[in-house]
Amino acid sequence: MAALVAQPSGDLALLRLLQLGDSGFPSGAYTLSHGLETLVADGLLRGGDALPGLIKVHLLARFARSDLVSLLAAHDAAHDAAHLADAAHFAGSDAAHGAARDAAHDAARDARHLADADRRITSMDRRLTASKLAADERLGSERVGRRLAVEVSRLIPADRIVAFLAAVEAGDAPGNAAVAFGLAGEALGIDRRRTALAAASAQVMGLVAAAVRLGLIGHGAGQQCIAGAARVIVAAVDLASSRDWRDLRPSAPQFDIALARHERAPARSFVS
Amino acid sequence: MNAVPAPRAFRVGIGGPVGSGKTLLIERLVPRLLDAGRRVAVVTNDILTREDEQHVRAALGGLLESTRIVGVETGTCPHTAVREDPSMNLAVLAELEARHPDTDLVFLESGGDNLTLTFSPELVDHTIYVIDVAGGDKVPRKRGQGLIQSDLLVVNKVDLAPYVGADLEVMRRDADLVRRGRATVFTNCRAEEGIEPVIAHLEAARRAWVAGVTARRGTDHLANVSEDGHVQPHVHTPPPHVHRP
Repeated sequence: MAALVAQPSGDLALLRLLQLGDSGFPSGAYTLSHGLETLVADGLLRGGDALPGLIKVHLLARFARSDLVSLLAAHDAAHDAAHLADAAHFAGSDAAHGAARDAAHDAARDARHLADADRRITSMDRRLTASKLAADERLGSERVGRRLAVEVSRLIPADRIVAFLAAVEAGDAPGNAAVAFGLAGEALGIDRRRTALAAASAQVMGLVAAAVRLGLIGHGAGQQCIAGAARVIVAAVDLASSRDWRDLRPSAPQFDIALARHERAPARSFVS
Repeated sequence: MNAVPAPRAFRVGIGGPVGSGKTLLIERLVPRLLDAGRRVAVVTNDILTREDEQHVRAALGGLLESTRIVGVETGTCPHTAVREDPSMNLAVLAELEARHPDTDLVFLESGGDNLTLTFSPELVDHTIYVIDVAGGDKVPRKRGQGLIQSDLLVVNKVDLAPYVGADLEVMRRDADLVRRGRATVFTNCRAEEGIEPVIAHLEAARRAWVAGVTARRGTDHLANVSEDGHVQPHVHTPPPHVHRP
């Protein structure tokens, strides 16, 4: 199925990117504040002036060193597997037409490679969970990821998304949002960099939306904040592109402490 | 509750303004359903805190296992959480039904709203909307989508009518008019009055839902339950008789 959308035209790819990156895409991401709710409740964030700096820290010190790395790796794994499946399909056709190949042997080998890709995706998903210190952050990421994967699978039941959901259902994979987003981007035929840019942009828009709802800033200032974060978003994708999914190193203690405190907060309106 | 096994729990959305009595209604319904042998769970969507979840836990703690009561944070968007993007509720339902696969019925209480709240038909199978007479007898005439479209309208706190100058007959007339014959029940949840008709309505609605699901299972084009546990398409249960207090 992935082969059907592997190379959509520029317009189609853009439209799919806009749909996936839209804040209205039903993944539940709007219920996450990534620690912002606690920073405001604790009085550590009293106005909008510090918000651009917080967004920069969140993107460069945390997201680009963990979630975004896993997202790119998941996209790569799914993309490689899709090409392998395409190659296997054509090899099978050759064999059917009398080409001198052992089709059964090749099919078994390709099936092993696809299973390896799924195991790799599960492994990077587990590592991403292990990099998240606070329970609320893990819970939010996993719930959003599972829903994102379900909704994308309803649009296009691509093999890797379906396998990912099966692993989640079996309890083998946590189902993190970043991994689901990477698989979704690949399934919809969006290239890895644009998928990463959309995910990082969605993080910024989510943080700003949470800030508006928490009364930290107004709607106009929020849009200025999003526009001002463009270069940071690009820098985050560049940084993540240079890293390995086996070596996730997010580090922003102020966020981790806020997320940990959120677990026992007496008043909560966000999942994280 | 039924002779034919259902594919999953019957999901009932309960909406209504803040303070109208949604939580108390659930607290009155659950013991009766448990007495009748139903296995029940409750999901509360709080606007700002886990107040409703804690209230339900305190009220039903001795009756329901704690894992059958779950609170959902809505990111300050109670309408979105049950309509445009019910992802967190669907995620919680999946977790809850995996943990308690024997559940017959789940109540999903929305955060307080402003009469316009409707539930996604991909989230719930049936809806109850709760208003109270203290808001004035004009409320049914305001025709919010939640009030108009819900399968059952509950008008609560009827004991307060004399104190706020609310005419129950006017409310009944207007409710029948704007809801085009859909069921309305008048209650005083605190005094446990009018609860039995709500139970009877739910029993009838679930029987109709199970029968609809079972019938569709026998047809090829509607035989499947989707990956997230939803039967497609939504089952519309016929409204039972209008109950009078």
